[in-house]
Amino acid sequence: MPNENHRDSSQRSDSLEQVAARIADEQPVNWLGVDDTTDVVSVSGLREIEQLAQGFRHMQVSAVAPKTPSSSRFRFGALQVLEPLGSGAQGEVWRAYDPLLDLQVALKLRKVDSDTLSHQFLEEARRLARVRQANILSVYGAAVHDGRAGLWTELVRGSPLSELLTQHGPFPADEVRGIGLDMCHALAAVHRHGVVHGDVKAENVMREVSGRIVLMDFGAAREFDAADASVISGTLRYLAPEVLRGAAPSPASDLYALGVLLFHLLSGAYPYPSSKLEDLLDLQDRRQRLRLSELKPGLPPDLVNAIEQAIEVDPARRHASALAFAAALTHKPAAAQPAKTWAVLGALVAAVILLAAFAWRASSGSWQAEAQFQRIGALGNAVLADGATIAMGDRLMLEFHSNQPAFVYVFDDDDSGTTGVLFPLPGVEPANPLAAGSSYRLPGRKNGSPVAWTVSSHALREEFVVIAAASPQPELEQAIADWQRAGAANPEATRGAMGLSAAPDDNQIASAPLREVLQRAVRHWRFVFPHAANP
Amino acid sequence: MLRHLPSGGRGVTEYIDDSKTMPEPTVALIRRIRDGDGGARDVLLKRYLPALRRWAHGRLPASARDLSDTDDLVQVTLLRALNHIDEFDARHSGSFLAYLRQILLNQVRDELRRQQRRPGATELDTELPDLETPPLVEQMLGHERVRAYERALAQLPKRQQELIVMRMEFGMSYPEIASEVDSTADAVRVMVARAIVLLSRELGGEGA
Repeated sequence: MPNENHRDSSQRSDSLEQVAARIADEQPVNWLGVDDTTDVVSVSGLREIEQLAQGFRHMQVSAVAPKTPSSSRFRFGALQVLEPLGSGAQGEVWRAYDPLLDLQVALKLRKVDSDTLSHQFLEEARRLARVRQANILSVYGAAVHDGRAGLWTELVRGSPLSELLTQHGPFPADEVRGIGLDMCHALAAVHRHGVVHGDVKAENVMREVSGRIVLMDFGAAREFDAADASVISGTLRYLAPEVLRGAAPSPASDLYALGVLLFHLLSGAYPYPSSKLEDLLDLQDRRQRLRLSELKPGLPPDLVNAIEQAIEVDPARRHASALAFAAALTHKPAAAQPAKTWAVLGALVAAVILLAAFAWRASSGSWQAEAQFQRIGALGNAVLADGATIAMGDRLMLEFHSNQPAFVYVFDDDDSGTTGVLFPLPGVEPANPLAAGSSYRLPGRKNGSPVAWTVSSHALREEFVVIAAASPQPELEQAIADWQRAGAANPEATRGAMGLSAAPDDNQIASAPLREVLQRAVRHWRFVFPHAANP
Repeated sequence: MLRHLPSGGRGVTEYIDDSKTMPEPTVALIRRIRDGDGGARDVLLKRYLPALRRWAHGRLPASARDLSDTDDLVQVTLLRALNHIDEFDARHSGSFLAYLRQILLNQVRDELRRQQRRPGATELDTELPDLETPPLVEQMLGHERVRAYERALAQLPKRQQELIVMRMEFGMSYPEIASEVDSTADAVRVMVARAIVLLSRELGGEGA
């Protein structure tokens, strides 16, 4: 109805305008309260603008701040060192003025009496310099002068979370969720550069006066490949169980530390109530730790689950990546909690995958097949590697090639209760079987025009399962027909439009097609694409 | 009389003393300069120099960011603009700052090109050559983000561009902008928010 649409659109722009006004007023925006499902483009643009506004503001402040010091304590290269800010095991931190950058900076100084040490110190600068992200401390430069190595970075005006916790007690759930999301995106950037932070803790995360959350101190950071398990660094309570037992730090151990941090911020406690190594090892072996839900009853269950998963003893049971952790932390309104229908397909395809892999090796012979998702863009298609982030409005297609005729089935399953059959589709060419030796772009063409799968609903992640078989899979075909009858079959192949009502029992559906499917040659692929949580 | 502006200007609150005379609108100053009023020229110079210096400070490459270089660039730009003020179309009030910003932006780009041609001496570790080079704005926000912002901004109507530039880039308070565009602080606040919504659509579309 046109009137309805008009009302919706005006409500939406009101709320966007309020967000815009807060950005213009230089007030923090509570993004958790912003509905980002109706106008994802504008909300994503507003988030960008908030970052831009902060950057512009920072420049204005730094340009007007009294920069040329009247009395500097000493000089370090071109820097005029003004006053001590603190000291730690790894060196001293000073406030300094950089005349070249025309900025006040934080200068970290460390005595280095060997080439090895100065090399290590400069390594930290190089690692940090490679990673540029809004929630990560910006490095301006590094040098060695007169036996001292110095690294100068942006001067963050604010307080470490540890201090805020001491002063004000445990943080509210919404704030912890926000901090968790910011830290997940910071760690995702760090991990993308092949680096682990190695020392995520409340003392190393600052809240700037503007509200920005900043991850500091990369002194313990190292590259995954070069990580040496013999040198344990970091803080005992935050160290992952496997690191305490001699494993090298990894992205999974950073996620563990972040889980401990969020646990600590919410409750003031740590998962294991001891700081002695032998007690920690013992408690971890016995899986005996404090439960967030018992320490702080009434917390949102999805937040508790996300944190508890991050602090699993077994790294394989933690979130698969920082972005997956972010997806789990993203607030889902109670009304939108998914029905468990997705588990039906999940159980089916998971079982197909586990068992079919075995069947494939046994009977595949020289069958070669490739499946690759691509995102259609104005400037051409981009290959979507497993784990790549997707967003609302993305148009996807699957490139498929096989040297034998293949019956292909593509399913999609997200965490919002929506299950979809993406291929084969009624009215869309090609249909099964796909011919040998040809490359296909699925879903294909409708009435001669190419069609694509469009991400049209918001979810935390999308999981696609592609199954290719040498012969038709009657049970899969039957299940597809049933699902299409149960939900609203959508020939446009728009993702999220396909609903599944009365779901059969997991065991029935999981086992019925399997027995048959496993008798035949089957190939499968599984792709998981998290939705962009914080564009 | 003190008027409380709950969300104007820098910081959470700002108090505007209405008893002081509001600054003379830029359009009026430009008119007087055209009529040969040297005093008006000085007023305009003093009004714009601090904001332009701050702005240029963030846009220049680090090696050209020392105070005298920035000052030279800003002052020369402003003087040139004033010398050619007849060429400036003053029909739209408030656009003089945007006009200056565009000239400065072009100058900064020239300066960047010059820097790239000239191998500069640096005290930094030679293995960290790229840390120092980019302008502060790009160091803080990233090259791609700044470029995307510029592209999105260019898509907006001129008036909206000016409002965003004055508020976000120059950090002008709502009353200051109001005097530029001959409006009220409250109206400017609403106009800026709407301009930001427009910009968000352009910017959000960039990443899609």
